[in-house]
Amino acid sequence: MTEKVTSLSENAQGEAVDPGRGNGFKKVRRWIKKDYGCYLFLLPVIFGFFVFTAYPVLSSLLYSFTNYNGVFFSKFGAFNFAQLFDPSEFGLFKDVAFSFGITFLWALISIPLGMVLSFLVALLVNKEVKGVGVFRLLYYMPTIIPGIAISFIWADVFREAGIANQFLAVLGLPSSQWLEGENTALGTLVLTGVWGIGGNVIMWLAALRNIGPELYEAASLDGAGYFTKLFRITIPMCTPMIFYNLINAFIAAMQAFDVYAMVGRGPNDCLYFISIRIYETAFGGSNQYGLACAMGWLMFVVIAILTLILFKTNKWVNYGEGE
Amino acid sequence: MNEAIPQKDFGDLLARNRRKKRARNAAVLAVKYTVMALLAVFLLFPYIFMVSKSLMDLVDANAAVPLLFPKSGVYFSNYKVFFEYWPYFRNSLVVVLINGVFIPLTGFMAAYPFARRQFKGKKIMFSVMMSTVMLPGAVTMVPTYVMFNSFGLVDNLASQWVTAFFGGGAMNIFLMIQFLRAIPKDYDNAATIDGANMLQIFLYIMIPMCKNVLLFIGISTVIGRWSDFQGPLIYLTSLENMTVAVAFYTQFSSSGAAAIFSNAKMAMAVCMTVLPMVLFLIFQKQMIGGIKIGGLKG
Repeated sequence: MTEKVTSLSENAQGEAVDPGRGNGFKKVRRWIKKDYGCYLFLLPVIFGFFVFTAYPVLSSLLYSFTNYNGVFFSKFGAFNFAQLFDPSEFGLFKDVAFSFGITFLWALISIPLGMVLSFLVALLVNKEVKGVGVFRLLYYMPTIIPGIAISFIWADVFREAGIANQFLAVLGLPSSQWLEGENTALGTLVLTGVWGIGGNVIMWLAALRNIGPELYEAASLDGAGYFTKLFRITIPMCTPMIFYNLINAFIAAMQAFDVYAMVGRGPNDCLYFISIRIYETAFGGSNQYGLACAMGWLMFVVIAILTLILFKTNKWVNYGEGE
Repeated sequence: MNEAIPQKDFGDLLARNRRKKRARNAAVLAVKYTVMALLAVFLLFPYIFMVSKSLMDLVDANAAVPLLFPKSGVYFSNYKVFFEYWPYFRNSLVVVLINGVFIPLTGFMAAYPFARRQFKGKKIMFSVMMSTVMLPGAVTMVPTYVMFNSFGLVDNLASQWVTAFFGGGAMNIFLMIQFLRAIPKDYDNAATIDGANMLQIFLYIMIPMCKNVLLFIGISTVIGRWSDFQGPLIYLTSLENMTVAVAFYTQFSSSGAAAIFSNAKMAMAVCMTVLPMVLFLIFQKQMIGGIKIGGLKG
């Protein structure tokens, strides 16, 4: 909508310099007549953008410089950000850095692990043999269980008195504290992520299908074995898919919240992810809206920087020749 | 005559070789099936655990030595939680239905001019839209809450579906744009010559041709909203307004009133899983196709 308005005024200004003013109006009318259909189609999204994105983004920026609590604010300044970067005991630097760190660590372990495991599974079910379709489908099923349901399942399985320890006992292995131990909670969380590899398996299968058979035929003629083909053809040809999914998974992981349903903040706050901290800062009872917005912006900057680093180091991605 | 004997020998050798190879292939296949089956059991463990525990009585479910399978009989009575929680299931159904219908529709409306029309300001509008992908939800969370609060949408189920009429996010729209671009330009030209206007082309050509991607986005919206936890947790505060995910959470989490009924908890988990599972199985083709395209367009 604004686009339309600004273009209109631009046009009118441009025409004002010209002697033939009526001509300009005609032009504008012709242009509106030609394009109004497109703007009508875009109207809902444009409206939604202003109300649910542009306005909240600007207000959030404003709030982050105040001590707004939902009712009023009395201070204006960069004190929220100062507090976030204050390493003394009055500041929040240690807490916030821990939250970012633990979220990042979890992303750093679970994303590559999921990628590698799903690749191995995809290799296993790639070839068309009888019934393989059923297995592919079964492998995807765990990802369909709603987050809250799977959280309750894992919270039950990986209790200290849960069935996971029972299983270890049967095997004669020592028991673990799983989700209830400060040192084992993150590892257990990574472990539960293994059940979510189904989506990546589908992606890998699609990427494998996209590789032309002529590459493998040529390699076979040159006497290449299975592993040579795997590391020289299959994996390099899949790197664009890997990179795209790494970026997406990373951005999603930095905002992970669903673990809150499984263990809250974790034993002794050891799984206090940054999204959970922002949620609790805003809605956990203290209504520190300004501070929560400042944390949100910090999160935006951190994600943007880390994504940029990922993009700068993507020399390993093979976009084919000519690009 | 002399030549026949080595030829026969050679044939023998070949046959033996082939037999050996076939035996080896069979062995490889057997190992493969075993691994695939074991992996399936492993990955389906949450289903096994959930269903099995949902059928236990309370003694078995809370036994000191945890059981994988019911010991003192199978109890379907736990599934009465479904009827107890029906109001929340109904709330969730309202939310997912409105979102699942209108998000693909309004998103597609935006994707159509971006993909197939020329108009002033297209480039800049497209880049503004795509730049919103970078924005974490945490940035807009608080102001959106404040705004919804001033419209009386806090603790109101409407907070979960009012945004359905505005396209449902840049990623959805981008996916639809990719699909629309693949349709040959001749369709528009032929229709225009026949006197069709933009709306008619949209309704009678574009929607039918893209029904798979629309279905994919609709179904994944339904599944996503059905499981959505953070949104309803922020906006819905009194129990009667909650969607099933938050009602389930508040009642059955460790501080909730129903926490000790770990068997009913699993029955509830099964009930919540049925809808996404059925939808996925019915629309398998579209769903897997959509996941592939969503993951490969890098």
